[in-house]
Amino acid sequence: MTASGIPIDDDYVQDFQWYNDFYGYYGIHNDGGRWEPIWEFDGGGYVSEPIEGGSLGFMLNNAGNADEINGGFIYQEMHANDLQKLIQGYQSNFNSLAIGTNYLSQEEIEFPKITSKNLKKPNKIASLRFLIPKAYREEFIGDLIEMQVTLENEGHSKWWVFSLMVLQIANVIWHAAFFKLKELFPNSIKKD
Amino acid sequence: MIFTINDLKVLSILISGDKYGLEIVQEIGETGTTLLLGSLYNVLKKLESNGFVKSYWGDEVEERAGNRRKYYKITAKGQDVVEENQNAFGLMWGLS
Repeated sequence: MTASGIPIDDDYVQDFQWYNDFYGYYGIHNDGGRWEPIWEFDGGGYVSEPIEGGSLGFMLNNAGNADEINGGFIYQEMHANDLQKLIQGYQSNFNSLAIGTNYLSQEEIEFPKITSKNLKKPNKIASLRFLIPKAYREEFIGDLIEMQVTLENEGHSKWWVFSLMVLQIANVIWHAAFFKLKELFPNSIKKD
Repeated sequence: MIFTINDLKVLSILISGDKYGLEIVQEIGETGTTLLLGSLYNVLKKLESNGFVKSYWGDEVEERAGNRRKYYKITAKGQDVVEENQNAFGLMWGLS
């Protein structure tokens, strides 16, 4: 089996790219044309501890049915963020794992090419995150995106929503700058 | 600490339960006043650093493009402030 030419579900392209970059390898399961991350499953429970020498979520299921891998692994859909958390949590174990060696060597697998075409289109507001001070970034970007979605669903014009978003960003930057200045010059700025 | 009207409004909203930033802004909006997110974070940061509220992260939410919500919870110290300022809250929310 070769993996090329099989469409990749957009939801997983980014995390695919993430751990492809991170480990120089990938392990996702293709089930009927949809790529899904796989991970070790503790028969009816949730994610278990990795078995020593196993391959937690990083094995390409060549058989097309995850149960057939070795009876110990089954696949399940997993959100990209959860996958990243899991990977980070077990990061220290990965160095000793023999990834995918039971099935196909890396040379035998033709990996699908990730191009800018199939990368998910980023949210315009989220792409401005570099402007936001780190202390507020995740909270603010999340609030902003949620606000944008709510307002657009309420039927407000895109320009009005966009203007409001810009105003919110400017407001956050102003407050962050004010705090910074206050820290630097505590005696010059009296406002509490 | 000197409390501003916005500080007291935020505290009074948090009395009814833990809330995240946008939720607080929306509740303030329902009373006919506007508070931008930047101003709100400023208020929350001040309240948190003085021990009137505590924050914790929630789970990732799909409609926030996978970002987590940061929830704020009023502390006992914050509740005392609300109780001490009941009259002011009544005036603010038109309940007097």
